[in-house]
Amino acid sequence: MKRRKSGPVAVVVADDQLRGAQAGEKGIVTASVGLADGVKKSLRQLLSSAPFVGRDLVLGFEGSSVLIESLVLPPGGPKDVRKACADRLKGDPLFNAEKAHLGMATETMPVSDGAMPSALAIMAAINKDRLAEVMKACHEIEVNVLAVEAAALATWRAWSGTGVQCRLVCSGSQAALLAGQDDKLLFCRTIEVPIHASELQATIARAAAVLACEAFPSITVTGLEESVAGPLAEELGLSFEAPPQAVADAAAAGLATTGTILADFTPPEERVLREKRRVRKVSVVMAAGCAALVLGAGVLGSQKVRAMEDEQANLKSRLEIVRADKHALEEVTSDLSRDEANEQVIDHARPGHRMSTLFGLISKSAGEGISLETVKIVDQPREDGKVADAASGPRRRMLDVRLNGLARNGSAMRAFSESLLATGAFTDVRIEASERVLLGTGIEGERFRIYAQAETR
Amino acid sequence: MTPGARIAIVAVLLLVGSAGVLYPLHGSLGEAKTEVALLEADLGRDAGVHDELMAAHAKRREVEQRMSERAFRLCPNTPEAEHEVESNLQSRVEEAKLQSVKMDRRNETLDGSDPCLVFELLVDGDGQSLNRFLCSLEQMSWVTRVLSLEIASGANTRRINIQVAVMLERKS
Repeated sequence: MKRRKSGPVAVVVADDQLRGAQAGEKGIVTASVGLADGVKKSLRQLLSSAPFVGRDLVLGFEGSSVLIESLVLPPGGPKDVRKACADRLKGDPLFNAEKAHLGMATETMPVSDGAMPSALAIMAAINKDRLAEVMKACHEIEVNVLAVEAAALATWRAWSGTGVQCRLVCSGSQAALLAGQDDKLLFCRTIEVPIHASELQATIARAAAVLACEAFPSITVTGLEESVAGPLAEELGLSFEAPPQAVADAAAAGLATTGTILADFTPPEERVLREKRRVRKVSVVMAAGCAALVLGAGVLGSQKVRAMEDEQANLKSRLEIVRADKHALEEVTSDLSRDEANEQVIDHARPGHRMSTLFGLISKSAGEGISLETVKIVDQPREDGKVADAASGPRRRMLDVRLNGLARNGSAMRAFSESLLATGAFTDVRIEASERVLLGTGIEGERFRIYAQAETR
Repeated sequence: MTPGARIAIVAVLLLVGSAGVLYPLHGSLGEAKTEVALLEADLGRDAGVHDELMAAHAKRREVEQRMSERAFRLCPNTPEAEHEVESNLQSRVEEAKLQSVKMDRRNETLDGSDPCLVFELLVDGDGQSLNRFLCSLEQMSWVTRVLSLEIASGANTRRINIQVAVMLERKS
């Protein structure tokens, strides 16, 4: 957003009217209203009668409430210039120290040829009551008064010039003669309107004397009607010139132009208020900036925190999945080890000989002349067997075979045992012949016991 | 007090206020970052768990496949399965023409580690019946082992005591 560049509204407070001017990008905006309705109402009317921008005012007083004098100070004078000015106003019914604010500006005349520089003072006094009345109106309509000065002194800023200059500025019921060099105002005196030639001549002579020049080659005049200016110039034998740029109201234009204020009459309380306003304005700007920064940082930070929390939630859910995986892994690992152990049991449980085969071999080996009374086969681990491990396999088991029976004779018994050995399924076959017995058919036989082993896994 | 000093005080107050407002946010952010870092570290430690799980599943499937392809299997270690084995055994005894006198059942561990169900059968029968029964026993799909076989003295029909162990699945 482009900010409009406009200066403060310059308000000239005359005896019977208020005139306003403001320098902006599109030139100077001017307006004027009468003071019939009082200062407050008139000021409101003035500010609303033209497109003035902002509520900053520069006030310039003119008319009966202002006194302007130019003094030539004695050598060493600048030290006591305030006293000199106060002494000058002592006894004045309107502008004494109790009734008027005193302002002054001292200047040093440029000199040449080694002469002593002379000090000049332009003294201005503004009636306190009038100033208070206007300031009160300003406070009531809530405008900011940036400066208060004598309007006549501000007219010097209405346009710029070079060298020694003399200007006659007329506005309303008052005229002022100003003289100076370059941008420095060195002499100012108000003149009654209508202008009398003799008074103007004396003032011009006084100005020339103050500026230490014999005469002014020309006088720049503004605000004076042609019908008055022509005869006046003729009577005085001077040439009147128009200013380099057209200025309708030199006082208002001067006030609206930034430059050095020679005498600022802004009341101290207004200065305090102005400082407070400035502090408040800066504080508000800083607070707004700070709030914007905090808000921005807060929003960004909150977003960041929220993003982190989302990430946290995401990570937590992933962690839950991983935990579930871990739990499942434990279960699967447990199941796997159980299955592997079961598989190992099946592997290790495979017998070396089937019991039916062994039983068949025993039956087959027991030929003619052998009668088996009792048979006992016990599956048991070997005494020297080692505990199973992955490399050595399961613990070796052994079938312990005990056969009790009767044999017709010793050769039948031996043939039985040899037959058992010959099968290859039995080892360590031992025969014990216990006693001779009489068989049922009246034949003698032998009772025997056979111990054998069959290896299995 | 000069306006500059007042502005400076206001600036300091605003700074302190802003810091006061933003500090908790900074704290929350720090906590969240720490938490995220811890969670990421946890996840990093367990990064290979899923692959391990898949590998374990695959390995288990292989084992199950091998087990299913075997001719013999272990009897499930459940009361229902044990009851089924007992019934099956009883019917095989009868099919083999053996006279069942008694049948006891007990849980044991073979070689001190392998769980098994031991049946103690007391039957009467001849050698052929016994051989049929032993052959029938070897045709069972469960892994069995005859722990002892004892044939008492007698004429043609004898009393036979057989202890048969049926290997059970491990529970865990």
